[in-house]
Amino acid sequence: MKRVLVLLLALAFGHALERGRDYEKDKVCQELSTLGKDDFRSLSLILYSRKFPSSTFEQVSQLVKEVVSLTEECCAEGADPNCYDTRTSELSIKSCESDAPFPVHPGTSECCTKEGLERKLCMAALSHQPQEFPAYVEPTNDEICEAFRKDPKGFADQFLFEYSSNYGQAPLPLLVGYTKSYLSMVGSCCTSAKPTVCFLKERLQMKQLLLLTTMSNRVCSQYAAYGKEKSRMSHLIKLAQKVPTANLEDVLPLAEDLTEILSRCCKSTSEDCMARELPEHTLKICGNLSKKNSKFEECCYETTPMGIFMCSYFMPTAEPLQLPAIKLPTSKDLCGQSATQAMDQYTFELSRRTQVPEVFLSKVLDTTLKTLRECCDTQDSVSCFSTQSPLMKRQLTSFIEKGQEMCADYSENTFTEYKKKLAERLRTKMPNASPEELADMVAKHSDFASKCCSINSPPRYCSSQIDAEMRDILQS
Amino acid sequence: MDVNGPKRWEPHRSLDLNPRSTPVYKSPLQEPCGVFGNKGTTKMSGVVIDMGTGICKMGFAGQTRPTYIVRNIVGCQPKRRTTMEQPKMEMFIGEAAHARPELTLMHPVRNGIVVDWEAAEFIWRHILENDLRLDTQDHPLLFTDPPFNPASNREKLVEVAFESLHSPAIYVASQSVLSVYANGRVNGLVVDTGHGVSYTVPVFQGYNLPSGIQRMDLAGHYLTKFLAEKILRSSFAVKKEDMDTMENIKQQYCYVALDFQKEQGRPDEKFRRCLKLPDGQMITVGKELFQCPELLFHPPDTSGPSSLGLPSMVEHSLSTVPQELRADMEQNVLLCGGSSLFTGFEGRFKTELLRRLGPEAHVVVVAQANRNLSVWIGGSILASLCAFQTRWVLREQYEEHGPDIVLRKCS
Repeated sequence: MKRVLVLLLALAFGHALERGRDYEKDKVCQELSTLGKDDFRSLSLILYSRKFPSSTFEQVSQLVKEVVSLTEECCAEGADPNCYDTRTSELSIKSCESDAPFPVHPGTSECCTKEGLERKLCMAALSHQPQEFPAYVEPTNDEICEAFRKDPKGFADQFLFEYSSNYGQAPLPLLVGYTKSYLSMVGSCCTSAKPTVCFLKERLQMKQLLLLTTMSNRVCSQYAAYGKEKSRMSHLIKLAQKVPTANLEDVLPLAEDLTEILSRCCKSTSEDCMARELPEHTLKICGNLSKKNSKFEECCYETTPMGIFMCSYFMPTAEPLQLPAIKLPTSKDLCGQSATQAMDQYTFELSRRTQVPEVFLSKVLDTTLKTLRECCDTQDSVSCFSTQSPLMKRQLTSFIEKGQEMCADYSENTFTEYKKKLAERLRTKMPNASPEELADMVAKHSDFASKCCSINSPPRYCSSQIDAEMRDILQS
Repeated sequence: MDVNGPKRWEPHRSLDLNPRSTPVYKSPLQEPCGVFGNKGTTKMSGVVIDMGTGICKMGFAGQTRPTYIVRNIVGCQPKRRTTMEQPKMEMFIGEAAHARPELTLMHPVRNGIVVDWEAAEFIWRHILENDLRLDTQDHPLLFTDPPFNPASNREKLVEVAFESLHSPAIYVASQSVLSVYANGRVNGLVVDTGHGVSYTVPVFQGYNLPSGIQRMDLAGHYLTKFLAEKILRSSFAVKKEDMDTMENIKQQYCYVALDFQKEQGRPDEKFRRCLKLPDGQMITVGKELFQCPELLFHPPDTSGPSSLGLPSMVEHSLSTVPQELRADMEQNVLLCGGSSLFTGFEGRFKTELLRRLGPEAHVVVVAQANRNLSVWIGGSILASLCAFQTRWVLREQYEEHGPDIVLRKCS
């Protein structure tokens, strides 16, 4: 399975087109033979659903159909030696037609201005933004079996598409493993004399795999959005807000460890990378934090590593500490060899004092520290700092205040009560607004809050939303 | 758990003078694997015991329904002193106890929590030994555990099971988790409204999310009292036989209005009807028939700290669930408990919930026909699974670690 994943990844990302085509074609053909057409097709469906999560099922199905068809044809005994090259060229030409049945991408038209290999490589590089809000809705057991009995193959394809589109950031081997287990469950339980018992039994057996897949999707999605350095900062902020009574040396190693794991495992083709690494990470969480915070101590009583990880991941922020205000780092701090240390210290100290979701704090801290760091490259860093620091301080303060205002009342109320309080605040703020305008604003603000005011809010979506709301502040 | 709805379960009569052989037990759900036991050939099926406020349900694991459904009552005959005999103590359980007006009645469970261990033990022992006709030393016992059950109660349960009943193994499973299992799921938001208490509990991957549990001490028993006060127009203590009548009326005639205000606004005479009681008397009822279960949606202020109705309790439960897990809860809102069996309950509940959660929530409300037994059924399924057999708490473990073993192994 590993080799197949590697090759299909290569195919998906266009590497096959860069290297010796005959050699790559032979390997793909060998794996098609090993897997068989059905599994090869299922794997392709998963790959392209991950790659184009905004597509319709029909669009992805058409693409898969073409890819499987050309692979079958070109791998057949006695096929034309130029078959692969010819068919992939035809596929790219077809993709450029205005009524192409394949996934739509805004970059397609630019790729179509190129020709030959360049066009193929350009096409292979296209992909959609990942889904940050999984919208997969699992049907009831009765609905599952009704759909399965009607059309088992159609059910399987639909499931692979929906699940892979929504959880596409999970490591590919995990995604393949889980979807395979799920379809196996459906196949056996929908033909069982006692489906309810069967479904429960299978679900309990699959529990750890499901949790590993969905949690990996979450953390890898955040990692992909942030990149390595900002991911590290993000985890540091979250830990500081969850355990403000801990020290930097307690939480920083954990943030670094998790970031390293994600950098190794999110793109890994090894089936057990996450399964091996996360449990070790939970040992470190318990070692560093269970004596610092009773909630983390409770987490560490969970019976499984995944249970501990989930407990700590979903833990809400604690009340921020009432500590003296901290100052921005100086040029001496940021321009020397201990710049990283100084930035970590500042990030940590600000986070444990501040009640605003991580997506806000990550954003403004990144901007602030980056701007100050640019002073280090100027002729006179000291005077640059003395000019920029007050500006950054003002921007930081107003940004945080705005963020707190945008998320006010959200986490401590039910959604209904939150909306009532929000409506009251907006009515006070805009006494001349009509009821319709007020209702629109409540809907807009509450939608934002429900997506971006929790500790694990998705960074890509929320960053653009915050930008839209904060444009004035960021430019001041 | 309250028994409601069109069908009334026949409570077991404890006096059975006809001896019969113990039937050879075979479970239709049993998997072909060795069930509990490491004692050579001694491998016996577990017994599932769900002790609700009003009803005790008991039967073999793997069965599709409990063998015995008994009122949770112990009746005690006052001691009679005669010149000829020793002082004599007679005890009855269930319907037999209820049918004897001269007995002093004890209710071992209040608002879902066991408060009288002697009475509870007496019921368990009686059913196990006299009705199921088994040797308690041979069969592991799975007990159900309500939300907010004190840890000391769980430990006491373990003591009773091992010391008094001499059980070889036990397990204590969350009632809410078992209700989710009864639906073949591992995620869900359980809305359980029984006889003595109503709960909403989020369950994720087979675990309760404790911060999300909402509780209201208003359920079937309260509704019956309300109905009695309305119909009999009396604030005084209602007689036992009248309460039985009210319970029957509640189960047969009460319904949840889809639009309460609209129904309330209609003329009283539209609702007036005469019912014939078993003793031949006629009784007039009216709007009480829908006002009674309405209390589950709009409880009076006295029934809890914030007097939330069931849909509002669900909303509060959801607000404490991590954002990323809410979809799993919203898609699996599971109605359970006898007091959810009123005609119209499911439709009204879903309408209210959708109104509160908004159109963006993808709400799926599941209301299985046998939802009054969902806790027991979930326990039956769980205890019959091969994978579960290693999870029993063995007597040897209890003797080595003491009663707090249950806190570590049954989570």
